[in-house]
Amino acid sequence: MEQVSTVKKRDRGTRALILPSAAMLLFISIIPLCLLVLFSFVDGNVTVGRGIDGFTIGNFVRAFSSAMVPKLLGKSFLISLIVTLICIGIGYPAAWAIAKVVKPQRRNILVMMAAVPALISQLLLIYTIMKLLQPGSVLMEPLARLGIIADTDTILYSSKAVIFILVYEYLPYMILCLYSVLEKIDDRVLEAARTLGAGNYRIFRDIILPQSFPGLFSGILIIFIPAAGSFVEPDIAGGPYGMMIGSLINTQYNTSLNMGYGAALSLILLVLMALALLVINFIMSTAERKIGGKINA
Amino acid sequence: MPKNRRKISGTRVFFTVWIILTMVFLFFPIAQIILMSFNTSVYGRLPIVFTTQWYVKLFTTSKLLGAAGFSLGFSLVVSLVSAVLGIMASLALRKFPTRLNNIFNTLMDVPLMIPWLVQAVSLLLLFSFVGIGRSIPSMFLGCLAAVMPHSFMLTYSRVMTMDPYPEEAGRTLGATPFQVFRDITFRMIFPAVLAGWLMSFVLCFNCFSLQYYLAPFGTYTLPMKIFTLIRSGSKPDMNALATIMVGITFAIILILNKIGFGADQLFGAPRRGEKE
Repeated sequence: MEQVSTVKKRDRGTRALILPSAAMLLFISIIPLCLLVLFSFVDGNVTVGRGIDGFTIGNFVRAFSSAMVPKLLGKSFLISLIVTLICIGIGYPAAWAIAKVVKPQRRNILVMMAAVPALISQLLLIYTIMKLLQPGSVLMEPLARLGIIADTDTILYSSKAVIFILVYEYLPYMILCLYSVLEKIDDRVLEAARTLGAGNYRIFRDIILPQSFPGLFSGILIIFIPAAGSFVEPDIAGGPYGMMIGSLINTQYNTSLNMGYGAALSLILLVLMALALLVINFIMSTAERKIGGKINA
Repeated sequence: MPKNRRKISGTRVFFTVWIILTMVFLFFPIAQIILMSFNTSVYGRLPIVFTTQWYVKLFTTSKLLGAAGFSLGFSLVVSLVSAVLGIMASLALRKFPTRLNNIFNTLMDVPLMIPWLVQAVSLLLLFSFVGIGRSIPSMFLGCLAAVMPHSFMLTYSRVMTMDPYPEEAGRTLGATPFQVFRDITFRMIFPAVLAGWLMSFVLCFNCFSLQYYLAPFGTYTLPMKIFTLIRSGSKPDMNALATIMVGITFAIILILNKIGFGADQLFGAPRRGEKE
């Protein structure tokens, strides 16, 4: 009897270890997000020491009646979509090559190498790409000498540069997500399909693609959401017309100082992202059903 | 049969070339910066004339070093706290029913699913509301919330899959709970803890948005310093610093690889995949 009660007491002690992280999660992750709804109705700024001036629905009226906000939202999601698609286009064959084509002993080092850019500071990556794209750089100078581009040609300070930088930043994540699922595909199944006469396309459609869906989905998730909310890249490399919705939100906090309006914009962005997620989820599950049925059901 | 073989090797060549090109795409910009850090030209122009003057400048007169030092210390503290919280939460969750575990895990995913800009905005509003505004404690809490899920994730999956019998044996033989933890549990989960700590260190060092929004005025972390310098012309000492940081990143990745963590595990790809 006593034995049982000490075990219980010990368990209770261990359970209490959850408290700091649970508190952190609640107060610094969940509650601030819920409060975002409240703050999006704030009139003007939230100032330290003075609190809130008053509440208004003006922020939403302003956002929805402005011509710029829908345009920026559309542009942000479009850029994000393009970036995601390019990452899939480059990342899928690359992940397949690492998982199934290269020698097994080289696999590990290649995966690790693919991860290096993901662990380098975002600002440094932006800096390296800017240096690469500026006229006279190691890349541009030879291209100009060969006559492929004009001396002063550059895609810097345009949406193209933003897309280039975002692809460079997020490609590693797509490769890693896809690699983790492609690597699990059984070689014997591929061999069996080939023996039974299936061509490359058939094997891809019926075996590889359905089994890679979970990785593809998490890759899209990891790229699409932050890319749509990016503000540093358009700010630095986007030029005068490169602005995205993140830039506008950022302006509300660091230049024009209208935090309430910024909160409303953030909330709109979050809601649209949730909707985009639902759409992506729907497309993926429909495709999954159409192609090969649920593998992990 | 020979025809079939030739076809396979054709695709082999395609994929081999593809992965080489992808790696070139990923590493050419980095290699270029490393090259330029040893080049005399201030504007990163060819031809290359070898010099180490930018490294000398970095360690003597550059303003970058102070920010780098601050970032280093700050990230070290945040990642250590994050690792400790991750261990505590993982051990506690073992004693909870599965349903509660799943809820906690889902909530842990929330910070991972939200753009850092939005997280930074909501935290700045909250901290301004409660009166601490932009300050070191705000920045500390914000970065901790952003990186802690990563160290938790790695430690938790190790704790849940570890063999429970060595701990049981220790207890039966009369070890105190602390002894069991120190001599058995901690040793068994150590690789995961180390990986989680290194990951949160790297992520905290790099989480620009949160630092940018929550740092007090006048305090500059390294990413913030780069952000302000990036537009003000060429900074060759930045190339030198970038080269050193790339070196450190390689070292960290080699360590993680040595203790048996694949890159795909570190970014939580399989865990997210399983949920689908």
